[in-house]
Amino acid sequence: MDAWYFTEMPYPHLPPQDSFASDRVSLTNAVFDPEIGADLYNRYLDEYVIADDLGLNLMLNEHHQTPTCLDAAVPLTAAILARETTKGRILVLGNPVANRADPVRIAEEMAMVDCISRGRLDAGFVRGVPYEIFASNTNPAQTSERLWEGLELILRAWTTRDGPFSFESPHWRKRAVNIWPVPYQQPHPPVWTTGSTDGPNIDRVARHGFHFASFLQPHERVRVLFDRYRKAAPDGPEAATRRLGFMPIVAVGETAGEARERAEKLRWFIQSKTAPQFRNPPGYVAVDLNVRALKGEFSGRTAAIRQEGMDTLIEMGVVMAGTPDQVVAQVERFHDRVGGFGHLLVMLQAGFLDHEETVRNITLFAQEVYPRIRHLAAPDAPAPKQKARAGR
Amino acid sequence: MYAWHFTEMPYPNHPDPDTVPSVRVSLPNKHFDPKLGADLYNRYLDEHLLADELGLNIMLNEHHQTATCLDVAAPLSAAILARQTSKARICILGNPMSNRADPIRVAEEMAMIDCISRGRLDAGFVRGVPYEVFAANTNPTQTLERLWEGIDLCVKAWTHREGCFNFEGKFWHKRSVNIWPTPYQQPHPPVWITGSSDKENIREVARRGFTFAMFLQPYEKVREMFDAYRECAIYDDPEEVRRHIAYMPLVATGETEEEAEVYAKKVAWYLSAKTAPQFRNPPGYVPVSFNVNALKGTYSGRTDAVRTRGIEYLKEQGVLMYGTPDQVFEQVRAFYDHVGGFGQLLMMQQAGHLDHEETVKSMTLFAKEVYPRIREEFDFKLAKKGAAAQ
Repeated sequence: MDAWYFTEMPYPHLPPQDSFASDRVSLTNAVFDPEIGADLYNRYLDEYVIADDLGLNLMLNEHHQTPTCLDAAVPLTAAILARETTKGRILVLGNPVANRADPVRIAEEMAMVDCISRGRLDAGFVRGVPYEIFASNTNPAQTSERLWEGLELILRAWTTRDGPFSFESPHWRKRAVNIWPVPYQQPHPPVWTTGSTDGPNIDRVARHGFHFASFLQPHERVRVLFDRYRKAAPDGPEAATRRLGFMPIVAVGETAGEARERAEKLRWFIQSKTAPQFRNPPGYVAVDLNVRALKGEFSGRTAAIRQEGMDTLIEMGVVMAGTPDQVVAQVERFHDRVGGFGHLLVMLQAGFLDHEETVRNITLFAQEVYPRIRHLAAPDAPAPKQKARAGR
Repeated sequence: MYAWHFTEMPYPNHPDPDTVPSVRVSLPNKHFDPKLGADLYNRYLDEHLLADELGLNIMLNEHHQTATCLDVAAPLSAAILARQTSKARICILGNPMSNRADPIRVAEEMAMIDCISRGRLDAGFVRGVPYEVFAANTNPTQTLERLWEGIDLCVKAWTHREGCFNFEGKFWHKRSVNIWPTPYQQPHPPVWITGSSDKENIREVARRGFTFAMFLQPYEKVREMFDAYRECAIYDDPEEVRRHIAYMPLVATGETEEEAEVYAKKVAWYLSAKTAPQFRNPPGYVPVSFNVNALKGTYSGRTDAVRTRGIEYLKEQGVLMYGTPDQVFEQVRAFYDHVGGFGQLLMMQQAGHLDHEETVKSMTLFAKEVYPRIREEFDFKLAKKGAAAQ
């Protein structure tokens, strides 16, 4: 099992929660103090370097118009870490292909990062969570289509070597694509994507041999997704399992009490709110899902999980908190409950967890937990051959 | 006067230009060896770190689909240098706003870099040179319009603090813009624009108080354009105006004349990189009158005259400054006099096969033996220090 250190790089210094409707999208940027922001960026980057020194891999993502995530352009931080670190792999999860306007630029940025890092990039591509629609003003009903079309263009740009090619599709039209540079890794960096509900989408991801990751979901939910992926994978469940990733919030303490306190600070991330009008742009999810929602079938993460007590969150596997022994046990339990997975994406920093505590958290995890979970699902060997062209 | 180290980060190990139709746009990327590329990226970034140590500022740009420039996304290299340097200002010149698909993303990237660098970013925006149109597949007739609409949207995103705003432009439609982060510098980073022939555009740059930059042009041409800027500049203090005028030559400084000449020939490679004719003048990129004049034979243009002439000619024109430190200083001074003064010296000090050792030597000689004299001779005597509000 590989572990990847992660923070969304939050700006936690917000007005009282009841004084504004939404952390995301609409909380005015007047709240952002650039001096504090500058300190936070550099501090978070320092923590990534520490994680690398301690032998963890690194994961980054991007979000827009939200204090929950200052990383508004993940290729930038990926480039910084490509240059500053030397050992760990760097996972971008993910480039929001559906909301970004030009997949060729994404292909170029990833190729540049891959070269600067000398082949340590894992490149993820995502649809983008629903609230991102408002910042990008893309059509929510087209996001899945755009993601796959964009992926196809990116893969072709990465792997076409014999001169310019043209590309005509509903969303993008290019006349002469011939990117310089090309990726360092051949045929291209490992590709990751995420998902939470769309079954056929998971099948498609599995057929392409892409890595698949799920975040902050209860284990029952994750089992369903992972089993689906395993079933559809052409190279069998064992190899498929090694391409599965899960992200919990992780708090490791010297004592259970310390860990618990740490976990409460990290929980800020789950508490952060997105106003109702930003949560479900029409067409983002399929019609039948909306029908079922109106029938009251889903509690969903936004309501149930946000309200749950810490014990429940730990039971679900959304949070893993405790002494090193306890966290090892929780990881093993989650691993068993979901039928195995090869990549543990650890949100070890969130909210008000300060630098000193974050470093403690990273260090305890890296030194006391990680060595004891490495054997799970056997680490990724040379990445399994992925399809060079995205298709159906 | 401030001096800025620059390289386009070339991949010079491509087939001889005489054996391929074009080095730009269509030279197949099979000629790019990623291992060599990785070494080159890290080497060029190391040289920028050296520039910071030597007290020079840093300039970056981006180009696409070409062996002449591996920096395909300037915000990435700017972010790296924002993090790894501590003194130098970092000028991206520029973000190709006309060819990029989303000015809000550019605004976000610039804000992030400004924060990480703690306020050391100079943000430039360009139309993009003609051959970029093919990689981007944008409409060449619209590039100027897109540039300005993009800049307007970007500046608004940087400076709007009252929650979400919407934007209905000709090219971009946004429903609720509220960028996080915002820039470190208030009201926003200094803005730079390049230009070479469009005087109306230069006047717009001047009216907005942006810095105007020209690259690799003969001094007569440069004089004309700088005069156009000065006519419309909004600053009362001529020193403040001068601070907003920039020029880039190729620069090669050697211990001896012979050494300088070796370096000069190597950096002049940049001018020899060819762009096949079909990529040079996409229809509508330049106005009709310009094309009529071209067909009449009015212009020799940089692509021909400058490309084929030797380094002596380039030196005469101020396109290439090379020699011993004394000689380089004199050439800067001569150019300064020819063009009626300027305040920012952008220097392409690395190009082509100029290797790491040679680049370091040239940069260091310039920084230690030429720059102090330049700083003294052309020091800004501002009426009110640090006055420039844009």
